[in-house]
Amino acid sequence: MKVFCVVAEKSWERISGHAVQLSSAVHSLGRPKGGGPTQADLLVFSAAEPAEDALPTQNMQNAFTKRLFCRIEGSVTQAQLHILDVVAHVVRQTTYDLILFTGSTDADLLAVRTAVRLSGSALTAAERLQLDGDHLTATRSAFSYNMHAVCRLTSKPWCVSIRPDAAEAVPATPTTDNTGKAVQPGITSTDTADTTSTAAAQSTAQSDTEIPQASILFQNAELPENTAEGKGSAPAGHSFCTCTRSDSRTGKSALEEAELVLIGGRGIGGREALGRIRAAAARLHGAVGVSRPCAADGWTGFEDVVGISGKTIRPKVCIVLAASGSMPFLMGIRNSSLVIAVNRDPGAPIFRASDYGIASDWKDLVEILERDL
Amino acid sequence: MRILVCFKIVRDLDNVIDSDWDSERDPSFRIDYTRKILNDADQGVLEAALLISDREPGTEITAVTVTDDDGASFFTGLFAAGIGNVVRIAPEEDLTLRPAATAALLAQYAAETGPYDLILFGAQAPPGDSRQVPYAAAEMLQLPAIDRVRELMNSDGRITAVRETDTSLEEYELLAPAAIIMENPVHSYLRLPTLRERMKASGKTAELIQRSAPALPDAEILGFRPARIRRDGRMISPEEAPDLLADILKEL
Ligand SMILES: Cc1cc2nc3c(=O)[nH]c(=O)nc-3n(C[C@H](O)[C@H](O)[C@H](O)COP(=O)(O)OP(=O)(O)OC[C@H]3O[C@@H](n4cnc5c(N)ncnc54)[C@H](O)[C@@H]3O)c2cc1C
Repeated sequence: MKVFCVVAEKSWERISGHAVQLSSAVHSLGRPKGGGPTQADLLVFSAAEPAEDALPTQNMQNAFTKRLFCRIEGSVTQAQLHILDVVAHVVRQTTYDLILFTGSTDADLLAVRTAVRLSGSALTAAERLQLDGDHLTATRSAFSYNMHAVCRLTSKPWCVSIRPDAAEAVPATPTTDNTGKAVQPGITSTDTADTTSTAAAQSTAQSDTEIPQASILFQNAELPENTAEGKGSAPAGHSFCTCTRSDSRTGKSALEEAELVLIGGRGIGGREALGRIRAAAARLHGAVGVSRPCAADGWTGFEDVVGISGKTIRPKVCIVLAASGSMPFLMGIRNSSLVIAVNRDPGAPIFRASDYGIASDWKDLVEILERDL
Repeated sequence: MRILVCFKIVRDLDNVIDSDWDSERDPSFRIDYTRKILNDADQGVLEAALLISDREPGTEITAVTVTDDDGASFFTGLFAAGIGNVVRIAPEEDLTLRPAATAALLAQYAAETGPYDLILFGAQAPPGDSRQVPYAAAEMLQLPAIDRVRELMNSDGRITAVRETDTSLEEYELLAPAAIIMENPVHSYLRLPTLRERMKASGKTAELIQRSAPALPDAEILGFRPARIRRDGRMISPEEAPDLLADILKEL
């Protein structure tokens, strides 16, 4: 079983995090029936040259047999056609079974386009990858996040993007086995008595000391010769778009860091109501978020939206005012320590996703918060 | 400018009774009491195309959907809002949860009726939420694509896409042709036509094309599991709330 892991990221800051996620996904795959150990190679696309300590820990380095690097011009979006050409070229040469993609921005795009190019099958935002005979199974969300769909990929190569926050859902890679001995992520099978995998781990660990230079296939953005993928794609360096502005976001917003968050849902009715909630939150040194319709209706900016298409918050206390409790919204508050919900509909789904529910008008609760408690 | 907008008519999943999600069986039939709506993301995509046309008169917009649903009332709404041409591709097979096959039909239509300067998509649509159709269609058409676009602007023949990701806010000036995939569009809703516009549109009908989809390797769905987030759900009365809140907030 051969896995090709692709990370495409403009800068190196996030790359090692992605590599850890990929090695943990490879590790959780298990072993194909009757097959040898899983071998994983890593190809990183980035606009900057890798630093010495790009994949800092020894464990990380050992997780991938080959570690390749390809420099791109500009952002991943701008370089997409070039990236696709290189990936297709490498895969055609080596015949990988599974190509895993991750990155902050374009992993879905690269996975699906690669599948079409190589007549494979695609899955985006996947979790819980598992080998099932000669198939790959994984889950992903369906019905607007209300269900998980269990999917099976048959046509190889399987081109899969991993959900960026799936690390939380994938079982953590064990760092010790049940005897307390250290286990290397991405190499050793969970069956620690298995001698083949131990041998593979050793040979990989050994090759690690010899490989670095030889394993780097592409030092720069030049396309490998005789690729068939040139048709319709831009030559290296050329792009269909010019980036006229790029603001990186580093660090967390006040909403993501707050210990107390008050959230207004559509039921609060408008901009003035949100102002009242903001004032109450400010008195309590809390932050304010909203459900998406509040931003879509222009009561506030989209940066305040909590949910799958907004922020994921982790406050100690989250008070939800007049939101119904849709799954896309709940995904954003699920990491809160305590959730209190107010809704005038006693049957609102938000109550089942809260620790405490109050069937009442949202203003009743804000009035309490406005008093000296 | 010529714009093709790919859109979908879907069930309004916000109105499903919560307990109808609690089973492991395919929910499609349990939720068919809900009304049909224009897919959430696609409303903003259609509006983005109309805004481009407001700024550049003479822009030709075609909206295309792959569905076995007659959808007539939606199509009238689109004509009334200002979409020039509406096309329904009726597949001969059931293409639910078959994104690659759906993309192939859209790409085929675009290739036959193109070239288009822009092909616009919403990022995802239920029931599959596959996030595949736009990328697969772009690849089949060998077009570069830009996703997570929140806003499209145009002036003096130049098109700018504002893209927002978890890690950055980027602005790109585009060289057509390109595929644009919108998510959380700034203008989230499709404009409401006036009564006069509706009346004018009432005679128009969507072009119907019947097609057989190619056999492409889509993932097979083995089953479903409810994705519920549950907590204790202890109900308290409004009278109990002040003491409870005082206790909880004291701990912060
Ligand atoms: C792909 C996709 C991504 C999405 N991403 C997000 C996301 O990230 N975040 C998000 O929030 N949504 C998201 N949505 C939208 C989501 O499906 C819901 O439409 C949205 O969460 C509903 O917001 P709401 O609960 O505020 O509004 P509603 O569902 O309209 O609920 C309003 C509630 O207010 C209550 N109410 C009314 N008046 C009062 C009153 N006076 N006092 C107390 N209660 C009152 C009502 O009983 C009702 O329960 C997404 C949808 C899709 C398809």
